[in-house]
Amino acid sequence: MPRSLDRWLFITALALFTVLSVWGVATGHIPLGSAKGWGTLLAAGLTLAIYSFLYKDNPLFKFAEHVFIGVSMGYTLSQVWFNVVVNDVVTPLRNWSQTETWPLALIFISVVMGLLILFQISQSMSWVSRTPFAFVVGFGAGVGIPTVIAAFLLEQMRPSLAPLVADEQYAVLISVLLVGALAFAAKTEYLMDRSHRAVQIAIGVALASVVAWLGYGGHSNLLILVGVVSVLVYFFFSVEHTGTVGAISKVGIWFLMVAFGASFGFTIMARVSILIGRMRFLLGEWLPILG
Amino acid sequence: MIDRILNIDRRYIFAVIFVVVVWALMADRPIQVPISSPVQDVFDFMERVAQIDDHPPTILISFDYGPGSDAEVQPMALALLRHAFSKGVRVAGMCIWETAPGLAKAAFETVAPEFDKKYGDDYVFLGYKSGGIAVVLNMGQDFSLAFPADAYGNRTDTLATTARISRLADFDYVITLAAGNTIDQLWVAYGQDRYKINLGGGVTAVMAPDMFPFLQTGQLNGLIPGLAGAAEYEKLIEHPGEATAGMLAQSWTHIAIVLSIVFGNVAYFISRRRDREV
Repeated sequence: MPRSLDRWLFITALALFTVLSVWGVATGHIPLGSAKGWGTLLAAGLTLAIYSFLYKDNPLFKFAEHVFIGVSMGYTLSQVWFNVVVNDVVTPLRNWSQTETWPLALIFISVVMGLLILFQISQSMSWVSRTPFAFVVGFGAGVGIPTVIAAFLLEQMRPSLAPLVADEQYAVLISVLLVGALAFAAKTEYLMDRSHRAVQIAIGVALASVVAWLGYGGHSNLLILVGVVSVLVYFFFSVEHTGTVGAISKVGIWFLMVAFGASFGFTIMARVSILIGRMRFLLGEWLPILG
Repeated sequence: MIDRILNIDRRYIFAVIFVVVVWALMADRPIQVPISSPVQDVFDFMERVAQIDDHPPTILISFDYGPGSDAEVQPMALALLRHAFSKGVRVAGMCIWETAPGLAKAAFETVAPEFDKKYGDDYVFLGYKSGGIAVVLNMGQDFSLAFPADAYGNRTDTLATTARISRLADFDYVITLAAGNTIDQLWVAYGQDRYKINLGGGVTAVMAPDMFPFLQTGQLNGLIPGLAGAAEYEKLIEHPGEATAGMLAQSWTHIAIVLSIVFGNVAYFISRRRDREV
């Protein structure tokens, strides 16, 4: 792309932004008499500067990016200062006569421990910071390990081990059919041999249909069982993935692919939502287009 | 021709998405929003909380997001506040993310006047508190030690909304609106698992697939996922807002993306077959 074209595009975009902003102000949509009006103009300009990256990297984008980082850090610092340092440390210490002894002692210990961490920047005295770091690591491990095991491992195992009570006869029938189909496929090496692509696709479609039917019909326990077992087999690398193990691990791959697809779909939805939010701002608050 | 399609300048795709979004937003046609069960569960639980009669029902909303996820999560915050205030449920708001207080304040200041709610009596904003895990653990043991004062310096034991609250479990419902891992790493692990609170969530769509296992275990009793979830909640409270307004654009953009994926794959397979034949 020639530089002269970029320059013209830049000038055109700037002129367009100015004209549209003047239009917004002239129609009374952007009140310049208030901070909100100026804020809207600034936010619109920065939004467009950030979106200009979709064309290519440029100085406007860099400027907006640096402003964002600076403002974020400044805002964070102000929040921590006023909500934590002032509220939790300065005010209780200033009113020490009204504060109870034990909370006051806790604040004092916390402040001293926090200050000790700052010794990290000194080469000769950095050993002083080991004490608060040791406290943080010890506390984190002590609190975290049992909680993570209980909340994420044991709790998650419970529904994975749920009995297939609902519609038992269907569950058994489908289990037998699935295992039979997999065993047949494994024995005849249909799933492993590239020359039987049509059969593989047919089995895949059949299994996908069963999976969809199970999910739609609320037979999720069986679905979970098949999914958990097949994915675990896929991640079991001590045995060569051939024959029955290979066939089951292939089913595990399909489950993983469905999970990745769902995750990708939700990610697209999130990004589109953010775009919609910005476009609603540009068309509704900056320009008097949306009602 | 096929090679040109496969190597298309991505800026054309951006332009198509831009046109589709602008067209759909300007079209502003109503669209059917089916209610999913995780969103219905949050709504139903809030209704149950509103029926508590032995004490003033009080919920805690943790605003754990920032301006980057404002478009997705703020509509949830507005819808939840509207639901709570319309049913006479008191609300305490807090932030684990330092970028959230401005958004949380804006949500309260938007919705409270609609229902003529008074600060202190009907809602309280506790502000931002750093510490993550330590904050939740502290709240679980002694609420007034974690939040001796609200964001404006008022003592929490003197405000009607929080005067009854001595620990986290005293809240009838805790809802975390999250754009990061605070929902599972903090609230599920340390809040729900340790103190057995009733926990619901509202998350960005990116995070939603990771949250469904917690629904299955009951660690989360409901979930509002992304802008679509917010639109569902707006439909449940019969107050269409920004999320509902964005649904047509969301749907058409998804159609455009699906078509481009299909188109790209067809071109890819055609080119592969052609290369094999060559």
